[in-house]
Amino acid sequence: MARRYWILCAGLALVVVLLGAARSWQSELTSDRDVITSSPGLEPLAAPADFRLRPGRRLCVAPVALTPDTAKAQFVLGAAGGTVRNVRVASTGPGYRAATVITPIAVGEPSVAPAQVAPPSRTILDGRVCVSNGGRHPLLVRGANDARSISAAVTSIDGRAQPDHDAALLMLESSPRSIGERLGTIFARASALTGGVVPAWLLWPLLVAVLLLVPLAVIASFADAVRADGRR
Amino acid sequence: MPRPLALLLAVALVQGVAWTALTPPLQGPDESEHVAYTQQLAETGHGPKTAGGTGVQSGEQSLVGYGLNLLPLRGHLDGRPPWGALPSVTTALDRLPASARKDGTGPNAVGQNPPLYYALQAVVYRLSPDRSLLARMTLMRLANVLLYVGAVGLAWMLAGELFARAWLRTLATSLVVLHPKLVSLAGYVNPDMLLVVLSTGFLVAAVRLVRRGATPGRVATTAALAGAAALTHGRGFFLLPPAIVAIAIACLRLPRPRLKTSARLAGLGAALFAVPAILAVLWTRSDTGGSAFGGQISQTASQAFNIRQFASYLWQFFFPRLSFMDPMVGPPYGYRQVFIETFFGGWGNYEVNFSASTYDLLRVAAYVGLIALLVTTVVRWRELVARWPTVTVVVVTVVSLLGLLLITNYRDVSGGGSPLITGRYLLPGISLFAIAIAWVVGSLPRRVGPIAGALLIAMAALLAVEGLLLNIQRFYG
Repeated sequence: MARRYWILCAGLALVVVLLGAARSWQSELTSDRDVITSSPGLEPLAAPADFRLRPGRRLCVAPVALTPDTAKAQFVLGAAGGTVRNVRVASTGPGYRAATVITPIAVGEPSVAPAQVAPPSRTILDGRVCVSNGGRHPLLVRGANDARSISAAVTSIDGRAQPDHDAALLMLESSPRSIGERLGTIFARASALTGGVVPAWLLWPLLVAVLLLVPLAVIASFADAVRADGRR
Repeated sequence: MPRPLALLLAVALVQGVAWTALTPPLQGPDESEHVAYTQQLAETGHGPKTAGGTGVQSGEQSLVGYGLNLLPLRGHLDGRPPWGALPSVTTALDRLPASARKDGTGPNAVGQNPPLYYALQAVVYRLSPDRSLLARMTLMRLANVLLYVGAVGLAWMLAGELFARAWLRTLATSLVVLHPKLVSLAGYVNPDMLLVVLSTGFLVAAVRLVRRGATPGRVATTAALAGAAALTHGRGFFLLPPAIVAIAIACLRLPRPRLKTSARLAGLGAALFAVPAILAVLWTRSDTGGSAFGGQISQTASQAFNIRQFASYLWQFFFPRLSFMDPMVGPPYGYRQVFIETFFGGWGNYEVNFSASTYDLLRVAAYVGLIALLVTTVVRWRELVARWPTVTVVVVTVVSLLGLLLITNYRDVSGGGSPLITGRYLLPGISLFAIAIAWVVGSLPRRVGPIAGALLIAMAALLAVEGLLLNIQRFYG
């Protein structure tokens, strides 16, 4: 009876882990999500401090790191007074230039407005991303002026720097992908941030150990203890 | 070493290293300030000032923090380092002069902390074979992982003092190993992990003291661990009341005549607590312009305390407001935020969280657990009375921890400040949380208890791993 009992405990725990893993872990590992390559401008943690970009004006964020996998620039845009047409997003750097006109921005609070930009062939660290208002109404650009949301990149309007006031801007890969299919890249980046103390190759067995060893070892240790108590 | 313990220590090590490697630097709570304190101490032998100075962090840390966007992205779910900039920042770091490591003299908000944790980390910093800050920060985090593994071992020892059955020891220790907030703390530079180790070690020593009887060694260990906690963080003073109670109980149980022996033991305990505590006061005074612990102690002593308002605040912290009560002082921040959301989740700078439905389930589970604890207490009352010395130490420890946190928080919000209390501050009592669950589960019918324990372990494992995956998604997704 004691023998069957520890098996019953371990089996039940294993079933719960398998069911839960299939529901939550699998979703975390395989769900496709936008892949952010850098965040030169952050959304505010406090109340927004939006820029009101008048017709004919241009707002730029620099420096922006542009990598060969950066295919989208995403400002957070809205319009005041009427739909804003001819909104142009341009991405530039030494020997590189890409631009696109995005769909008209309807009246309302700013919302994400991704713009496809042709990626550079090599990494550019001092790139610049601009949004120009070619329409007839003011364009609202989501901005932040709370200290915790100010990043190193500087926002300027028609060349004039806006001190302690940043436009929100994300650079993205072309299409959403899951973290499961990007593990090689993720591990290389994580390893680089450890200063090489944890090599990228070690992260493969480490993740497998977390996904398998953690639940199995804990269940095994518990079952072992139940069995030991049953023998007494 | 018992096989279950060996497995649990291996699990702790794997999880801790994974959290260390997969969380970008400076993303833990106040981690930037803790790293800056350590670097300043390691480079100059002095802690940073809380007011004045040449910078919150050194030039080197600023380059890492802003060059890789690591400081601005804190708290921003969409924030990512500019991955392409890593090589250029690394090159720039190599070119910095040595003076760029020494100029983080303050103002540093954690400069009011006593030095024990930072001194230990300063040794790791100095011993690092790689002099880059990224490598040093990783090694400091790995030192925290070793503290976490030590805390797991101590939790096993505490459970061993309290439970005869192996499965209850394993259940309690597993719940410590798999606690999703505790394991994340292993992967950050933060003195709270040392506080967890010292408080768990203190509980082992105090329970042994009252169960096995007073000896100079046991009294000295208990008092020294409480003193070391005070030398780690101001919150470490919560161990003073249970230390006094444990030594008093042990002395009371000495064979007669006991007055002389008791006086000697009490004096030994007082000295071993007082030395580190006085060191902590002197150190923090020197770095905070003359007021120990950043003026918190003198402020607490001088501030008026409205008992009626505090009672109302306390009620509304845990339960809905009653009709005759004034609105809660401060923002609506209470049980759910502290005991559920930031106790189990809220990683990084609180921006990484379980889903709302998971928090709802944890909340329901916590209520069920509390009711079960009350029922078990009533049912096993005689047994508790028979073990009164141990029960008293445990209860006084819990009351002291919660009392210190809630009173401090009340004083802060009643003075117009923001709530300071967060779930992480409850972690010094994590072993008692796990012991309480194991005790309740162990009180179930013989054939039901282990099955309930197995299911609890399975759910805890799910949460622990999901926490890490959410963390990966947040920083690398």
